[in-house]
Amino acid sequence: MIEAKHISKHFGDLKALDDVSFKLANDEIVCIVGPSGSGKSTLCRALNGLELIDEGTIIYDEKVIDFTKKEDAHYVHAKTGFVFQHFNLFAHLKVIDNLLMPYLENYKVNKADALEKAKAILEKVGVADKIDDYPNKLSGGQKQRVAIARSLMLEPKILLMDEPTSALDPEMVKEVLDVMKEIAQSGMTMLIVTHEMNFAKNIADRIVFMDEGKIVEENDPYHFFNEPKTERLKLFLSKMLY
Amino acid sequence: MDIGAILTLDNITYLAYGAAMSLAIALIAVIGGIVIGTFIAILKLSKSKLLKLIGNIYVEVVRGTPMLLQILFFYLGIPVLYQLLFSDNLRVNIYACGILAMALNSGAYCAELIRSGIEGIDKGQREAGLTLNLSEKTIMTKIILPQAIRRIIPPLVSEFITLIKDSSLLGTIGVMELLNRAKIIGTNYYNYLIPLLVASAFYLVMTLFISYLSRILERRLAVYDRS
Ligand SMILES: Nc1ncnc2c1ncn2[C@@H]1O[C@H](COP(=O)(O)OP(=O)(O)OP(=O)(O)O)[C@@H](O)[C@H]1O
Ligand SMILES: [Mg+2]
Repeated sequence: MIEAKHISKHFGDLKALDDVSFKLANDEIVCIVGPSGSGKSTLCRALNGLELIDEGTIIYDEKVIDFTKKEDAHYVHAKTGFVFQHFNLFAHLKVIDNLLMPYLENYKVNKADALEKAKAILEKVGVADKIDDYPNKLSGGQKQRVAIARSLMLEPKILLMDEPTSALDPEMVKEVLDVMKEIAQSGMTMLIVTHEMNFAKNIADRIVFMDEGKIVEENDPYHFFNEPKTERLKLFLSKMLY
Repeated sequence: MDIGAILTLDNITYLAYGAAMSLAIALIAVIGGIVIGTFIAILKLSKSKLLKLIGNIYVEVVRGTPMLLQILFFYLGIPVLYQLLFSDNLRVNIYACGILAMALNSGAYCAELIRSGIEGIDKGQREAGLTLNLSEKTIMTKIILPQAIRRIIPPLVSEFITLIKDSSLLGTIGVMELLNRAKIIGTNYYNYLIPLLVASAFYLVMTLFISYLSRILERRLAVYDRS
């Protein structure tokens, strides 16, 4: 379980996160939506220590996390996977080594078993035929599926995803969303920043709307879309769903 | 003008030895430069303001003064300093002196190449490493450096080529490198044109050949860049 209590993050004069409190329960799937620049990425990254917060507290399973401490950062990173908008596959490693290298650095296991495991996961996300290619030979959709496989390899309890389909050509969005849906159905705890409203509606237990560094409104998908309470969310929905 | 009288086997061999010497000097200097440059790059990339400052000062001082001055500083300046400090005469070896000056000079340029090579790696690579629970050391050795090295090698080869040409400055302190030998032949025969042309040919063969090797190496190293 992740909990953020009154966290703030400034970039110079800009308040990217303004006193945000947020909870992600075990097995819950939460989508974050909101206009560009509203702080969605910053929140997602702060929860994983990629941005250090200026104020507030981040708690994982009752443990208060100080990301400047190595052991705290490792505690979180051992539990969580992170999927980036721009994939961030290791450019100099083949697909298979993108999965194996981090895995073998984290676990002292024999390489043959690791290879079996990596192949099985790549099979599951549908890129088994690409294991010996370098990332730049793959399409965007394939890259993101490999990136997802790379995080799954470490068996995270929680998967954080920052706009995993936003950098993809439209025809590749579905193949990635399908993989995400499958992961969701397997019982993973997930936090997904997305612009895919229909996907959020179908998959989320709860949808969070952010604007100007704050969580403005959150609700289950039905109420979120059908009975928005704030003007800002109504305006946002009217722009997103036409 | 009797070209045949100048282009004897002896004279050509004499120049060829000079070319070999220039090449060897540049090679030792660039290796020294890479070692020094790595060290300076680490200073410049460190979090400590003081270490950064030391690295910056080193680079600026070296890049802001002529290489010939630096060579003369070691050859003529250091002995004076030694005399002042230890009241004793220091007999400097021109080769050691010249190569040291060139290596220290090259160190500043290599430092910049290495630093920008490392900083040029997309920050997403490091972030991915962090989220995959890798240590800073693993991120550096298994993700950043392998990618950075492939980018740094081509400009380091250019630096090597520059040093081959700059080694001609060591003639000033009496090192028997290629250009110095060409001038000696010129003096002997009252004809500088022919030995200078031959020296040019030697320089060109060396620099063009190394550029060619570098391009092959670059292609090899960039396997993963090709789509
Ligand atoms: N590293 C940074 N340095 C300076 N400003 C930043 C940095 N990262 C984010 N910001 C700013 O903080 C604000 C929130 O950014 P954030 O990336 O969290 O928005 P977002 O909701 O993810 O937007 P998008 O939908 O465009 O991805 C923006 O105004 C952005 O310009
Ligand atoms: Mg974002």
